[in-house]
Amino acid sequence: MEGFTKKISEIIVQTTSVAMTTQAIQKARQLFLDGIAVAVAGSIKEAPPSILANHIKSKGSREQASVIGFDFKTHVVDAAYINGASMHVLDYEPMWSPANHAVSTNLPAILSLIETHEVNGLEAATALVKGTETQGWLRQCSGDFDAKKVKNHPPGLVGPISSCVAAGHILQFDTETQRHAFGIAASRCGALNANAGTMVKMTHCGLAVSLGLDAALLASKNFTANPDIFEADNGYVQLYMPNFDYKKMLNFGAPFRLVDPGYSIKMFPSQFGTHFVITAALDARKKIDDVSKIKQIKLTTPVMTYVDRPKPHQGLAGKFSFQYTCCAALLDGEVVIDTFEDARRFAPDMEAMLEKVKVIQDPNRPARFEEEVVDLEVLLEDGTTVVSRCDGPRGSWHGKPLEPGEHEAKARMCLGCRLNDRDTDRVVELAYNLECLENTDLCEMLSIISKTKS
Amino acid sequence: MKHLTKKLSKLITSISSKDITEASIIKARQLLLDGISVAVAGTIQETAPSILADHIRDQGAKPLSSVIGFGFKTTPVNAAYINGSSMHVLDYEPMWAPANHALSTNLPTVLALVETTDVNGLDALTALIKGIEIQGWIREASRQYDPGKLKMHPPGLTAPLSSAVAASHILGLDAETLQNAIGLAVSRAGTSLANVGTMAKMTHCGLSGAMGLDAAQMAQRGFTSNPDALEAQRGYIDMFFKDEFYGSELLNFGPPFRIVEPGYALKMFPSQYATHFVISAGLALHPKIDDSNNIDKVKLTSPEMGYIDRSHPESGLAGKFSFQYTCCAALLDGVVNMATFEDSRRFAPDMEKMLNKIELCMSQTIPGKFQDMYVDLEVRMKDGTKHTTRCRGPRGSWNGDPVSVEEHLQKVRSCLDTRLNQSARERIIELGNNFEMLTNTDMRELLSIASNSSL
Repeated sequence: MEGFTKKISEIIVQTTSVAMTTQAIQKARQLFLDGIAVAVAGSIKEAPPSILANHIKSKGSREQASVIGFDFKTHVVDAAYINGASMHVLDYEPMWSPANHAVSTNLPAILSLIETHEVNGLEAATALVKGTETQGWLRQCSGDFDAKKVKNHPPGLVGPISSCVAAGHILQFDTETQRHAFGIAASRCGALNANAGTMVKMTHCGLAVSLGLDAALLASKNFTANPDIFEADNGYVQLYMPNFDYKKMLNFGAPFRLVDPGYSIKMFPSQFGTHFVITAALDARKKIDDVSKIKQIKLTTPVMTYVDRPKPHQGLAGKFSFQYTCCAALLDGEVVIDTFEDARRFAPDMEAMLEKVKVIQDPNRPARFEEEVVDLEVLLEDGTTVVSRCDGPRGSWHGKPLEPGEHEAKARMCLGCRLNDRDTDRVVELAYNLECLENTDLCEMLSIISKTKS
Repeated sequence: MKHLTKKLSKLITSISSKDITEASIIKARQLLLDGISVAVAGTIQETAPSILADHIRDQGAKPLSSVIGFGFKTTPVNAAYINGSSMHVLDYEPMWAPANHALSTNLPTVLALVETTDVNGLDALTALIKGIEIQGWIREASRQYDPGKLKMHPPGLTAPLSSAVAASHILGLDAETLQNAIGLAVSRAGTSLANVGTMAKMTHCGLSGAMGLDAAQMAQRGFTSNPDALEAQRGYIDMFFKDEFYGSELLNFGPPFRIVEPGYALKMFPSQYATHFVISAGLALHPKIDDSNNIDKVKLTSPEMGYIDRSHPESGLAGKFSFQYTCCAALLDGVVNMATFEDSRRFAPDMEKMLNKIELCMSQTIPGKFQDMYVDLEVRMKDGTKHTTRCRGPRGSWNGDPVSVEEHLQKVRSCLDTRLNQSARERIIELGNNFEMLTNTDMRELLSIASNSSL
């Protein structure tokens, strides 16, 4: 489509805080709180964010932007890198439709610019709405909905593009600068799905958001690129999304994708496909008196080979295992952050239970989260069988909605990993008033969440 | 191939400076001098590197590694980013078979670690040879010889991995750590060919090299990845080379080394490599044309290369990627050098006029692989006379006449002269010509001279 990059850039720069709806702001507040909270927990509950933080800290860069949970400031791009990685590492941030990680790949770019730019809460919320909007339409227009079709890990593919939109909002881009930022960002896309279940996966989100921010900063300094990067020969669309529906993307704007089709709050810190298994297993467990009497477990799922891991090599990889999450739910009756520590993974009862699971991946089941269905059949030693089915975990598109207060409880639990009650209360309070916050309030929030412990 | 990443990592870490042959050292020295000198020139002849240098300087990071031409130091990763971009921006670094930019994506990583380790000249050259070696084998194993088969710009595709290999040699990583570095690096591969002819292209080399170095450093800190990242389902090969890839060929890594066989082509013109064929043809006909005003029409027959079919490039920089522009410049000026690609030359009236006379015929029957391609040039004068020539290989290329050592040094001197005085220039050449004997202190001296913004 000729002139597409120019046209979409025009639409994007013309979308200002005036265009924000009440509903979009409400959602942005929730996403803000969720993202910050899971990043605080991620920075302490897993080892890789601290390796990364030390790695970046050793650069000794200018102290501009706060690093969540590690009590130092660094250059804006580097802060986005670490914060994005911490925000993703638990796999506890919201899931999107089509599948993606849109919070850890946008919010850190915004957080990074708060302490160097006079951005207020409303503009920060608007930047988040525009970033998630960009990602949502890119994924929607690509037509790649089914997990089997997705070659690149989506955050690495769409994250740099959207992050330069979120940053561009705060940097007040004109159309031309946005076009060049897209051009720069597009040459920084990619990420391999083979690294799901390893430390590297969290860097897909962290690097994507930081590279998009870096592209925006370079563009603001008059660094140029191909200004028609989406539609250009050998450009972004041809390379990554050959079936791209250009016209649809021009729908960018109200009511905004974070409202419709919305997102799904994650109540378990693991890959989203496993939430179906976890839900079915928690349901079945209520009907089983003694889990030590389980003889065999049969799971029927869509074809999702990357979460077919009978014996994950570590706790972290367990987040990407149908088998492991199923066993944990049956054994423990809950799936929480500690479920994915190595201690749980290699406990004798877990090893024994993993031997009993059989996964059948049924090619007739759609491998798209919105349509996923999982069946669980547990055979007990006395010959009885317990069955359950999940077609949508709570909080997802087809599942029951979350109870009021349930999301806040998750956020508080995550924040509580590092912060005392007073600090936790203050972060929640500030987040609930996001659109009314002054820049100083946002800076206060960052100074609280950057603490290692309170 | 099962366990490819593991086997390859073992093989790579087993190759030490003891395996480096005399022939490969001679080549590596030449490459080193070529790379440093085109980087010096790149920092001053184009504006993009200085935007990038300001952008990175602004980070205020630790002053560890020298930035060529800009008189400051930054972290090794940042230094590799800028130096790789400066080394590539003129498109004046050597060309490889299969086509690639292997120098600006490996050498900056090696240079970046000189001031943070005690590596000596011989091991620095070994690291360079190893980085280039793995890039060459990946490109070879993919069989993507013809530019028409390429989806991504090869440096962005291969350099994160190769730079991690080069860095791992200097950092002394063991096989398992290298395996993790490779897994980290391949999740950072990519780049869009649509950015050819823009400022963003130079960052493909700079950023990919920097990313590979970063991956090696993170692996050294204990960061882990998929240890089978090359061969895994949805891994590097599956993702980028699904149609064709001969993984076992990567295990050919080692002597006599690709730097020697099939070697590389020194670039004597600062432009995209296929245009060198056109330039050589244009220069051959230049003496036969008494007055360019008398040219009626120019017909150029080339392989199919859509990305360098630019009848009216939008800037001097984009002229580096134009069959038409480079042809006109060679015919008009009888010389193609860095000044050819300044905007003032691009938009001069005689150039505008000449560009309108060119007809480009891209023929599907001419192979697009650099080693096999040729171009035909036909210049028709107003009086009806015709001059024709064919170029099968520019000088310095696989099928062309060789470039002498002295001639290469002329290129090196012309590049270094853009920033440095004669004594600084000659000192760099002296150090470069004895590189395998250099101590770490000598190399630091070389970097400190090259990083000067003016001498």
